[in-house]
Amino acid sequence: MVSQIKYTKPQVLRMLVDVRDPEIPVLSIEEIGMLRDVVIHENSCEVIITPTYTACPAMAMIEKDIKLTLTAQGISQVKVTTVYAPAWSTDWMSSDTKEKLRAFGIAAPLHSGCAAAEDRPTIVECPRCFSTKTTLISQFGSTACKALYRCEKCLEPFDYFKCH
Amino acid sequence: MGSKEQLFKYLLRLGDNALIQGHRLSEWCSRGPILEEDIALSNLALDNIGRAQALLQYASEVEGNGHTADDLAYRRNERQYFNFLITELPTGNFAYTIAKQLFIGLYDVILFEALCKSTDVTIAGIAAKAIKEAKYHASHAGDWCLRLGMGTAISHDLLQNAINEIWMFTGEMFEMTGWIRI
Repeated sequence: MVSQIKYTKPQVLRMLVDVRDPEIPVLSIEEIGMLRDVVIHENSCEVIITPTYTACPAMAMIEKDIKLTLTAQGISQVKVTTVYAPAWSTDWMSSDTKEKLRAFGIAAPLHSGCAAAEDRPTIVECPRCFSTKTTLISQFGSTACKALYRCEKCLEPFDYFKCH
Repeated sequence: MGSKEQLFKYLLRLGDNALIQGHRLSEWCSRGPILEEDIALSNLALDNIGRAQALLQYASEVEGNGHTADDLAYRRNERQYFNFLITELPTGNFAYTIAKQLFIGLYDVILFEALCKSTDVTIAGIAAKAIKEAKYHASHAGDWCLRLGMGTAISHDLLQNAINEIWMFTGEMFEMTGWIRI
């Protein structure tokens, strides 16, 4: 069976580098871990994504961006499939990705599974001045995936990308 | 009842709990006691609506009658909802909401930890996602219970009264429905 799609999976993955999380435009959906797979079918291309949070409001926009990006490259039949398993984890972020987050002003997740009280991060470093004297203001910040902190040294509030 | 219908009803029950809880929490949007808490409660509401969407989407696939998740969420009569009564209690004051959140949050952690081991792969997948969110919800409610309980005499009494009033609604969470064995 020869696919009518003239691109290979790695080529499609490269095209999708331009699709960003609208809340964190410095990261592609692959870097953040939302892009799970690309499957080239006979007449269509299927992109499999997973939400960061079940109610991630960016999903509809990301799906639209994927379709627009691939259609612009001449792939007319694009299907976007959302899967919940395996559950998205901040562990999928590489150290490069975490550094991009920090440079953008968001403190990167320290480790996984820290939702339990005893596992909570004790020291979250300020992404701007690197001080470790910071205070948790709210577990739920500008979006569900971030907590709000304040740096006691430079006095700036900042987002912390929660472990998940 | 066939097992398909049992599964459908069970999914409705799980989905309805999240749906009603999410809508009750969303009533706090723009009315939170402080800005950070307004945002937090709205985020908790959003997590619940997302969970409801995933569960009711699966319920609609199991039902196979062409209904969408939205049809199931918004186009049933009030007697056709299967949520726990605790989720539909009025929003009340902040301490009342926190007391509800504590009971529901702790229950959800136990429930979704168990459902992660479900033999139904879709339920197990949704549960693996929901458990991460539920833990944050429980710790949020736990933090506030300590803050209110050990705060002023007024905050302590408001929370204690809420706990006294809501406690009796927790029994329903452990009733066997007979709908499905998981």
